[in-house]
Amino acid sequence: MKTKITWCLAIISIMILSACSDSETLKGDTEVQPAVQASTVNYQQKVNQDVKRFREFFASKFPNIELEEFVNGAYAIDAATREQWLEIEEFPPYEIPVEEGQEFFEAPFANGKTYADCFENGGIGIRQNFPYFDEKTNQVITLELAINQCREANGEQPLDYGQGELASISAYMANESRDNVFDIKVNSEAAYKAYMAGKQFFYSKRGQLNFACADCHLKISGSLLRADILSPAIGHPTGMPVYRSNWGELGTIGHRYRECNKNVRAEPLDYQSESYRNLEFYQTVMSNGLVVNGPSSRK
Amino acid sequence: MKKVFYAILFSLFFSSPCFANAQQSIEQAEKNLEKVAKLEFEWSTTAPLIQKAKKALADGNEKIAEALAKEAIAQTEYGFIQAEYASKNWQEGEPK
Repeated sequence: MKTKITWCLAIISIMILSACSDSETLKGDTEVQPAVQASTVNYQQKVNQDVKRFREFFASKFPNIELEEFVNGAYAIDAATREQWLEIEEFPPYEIPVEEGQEFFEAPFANGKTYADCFENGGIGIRQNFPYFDEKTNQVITLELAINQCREANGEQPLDYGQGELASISAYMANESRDNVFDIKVNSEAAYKAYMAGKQFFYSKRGQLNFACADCHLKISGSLLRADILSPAIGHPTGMPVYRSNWGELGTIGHRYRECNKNVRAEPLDYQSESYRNLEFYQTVMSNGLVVNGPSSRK
Repeated sequence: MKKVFYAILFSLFFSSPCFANAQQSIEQAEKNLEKVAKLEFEWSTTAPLIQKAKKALADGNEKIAEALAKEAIAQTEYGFIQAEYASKNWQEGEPK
């Protein structure tokens, strides 16, 4: 009797085990499918949905403001400060840095080459193509990073990010690209990852004040923070680099990111850190369809 | 046996954070700061607190040094919480 029971148990165990191994195979088959699907995901389409929601948010928050006006930051939404700004723009404070930027841009390196040799179309009218995701190096390339990469490729020392000569060169290149439309692509899984990392940074609260970029420049944009109107995030990168009166000089978007982080008592990251470049990538994608209007002036 | 038990209890009691000295607190704050900085959630107020704690200790104000270092530790811990919260809930701020 005992032997029969043992045999029965053994047969049942074998049946169960084979059933399990069948289901494993089935599981494996079903798991292959999403992987195949992942390679055919239309990342640009996913991103475009984000852009649509982002625009809709600002359109409903500021119903009387045309989309193309958002390139002017807080001056798009406040008539009083806009008037003052328009007066400043009659003799723009970034005019001299742009002229200097042109001189730096055209000055040959020690090897005789110039910045024009590093960029398509000789570096003229290309600001709207930055930042972009470089599939070869698997990273976001900003205009400022590309300028320094150009220098290093030609045996020159990289310039300081943030302000000074680099910001002036960037301003000249932006000035030569005015009215060109941003259309930053997110075409691959790697590019989408960088985009999502930038997006996560934008919405993550940090610092002692526990503020995210989105808190000031999306949720409560248009409100007063002491005497300043919080600018809407849409169109932020279009006017970069920017001459800010409180800086008294021109600065890059990275300089502004660091300042924003300091304002919420978060330790700023390094210039051109991966996170800041991803953030710029995300922000610029959100401004797709808007024109280059940099350099600009702000309070 | 009793002696061993009391010895363990005694050492546990005096090695607890309540009795950590200023130097240990400063070291702990620095370790935490390094970790929270890697997460990119460092507060700009923390490193100056550690510097002040070090100065206080150098000036012989151990109690003040310890209090400052503990405040720095607390700030890094808030940073960890922020990082953890952001990693799970950052989508909360997205337009719906």
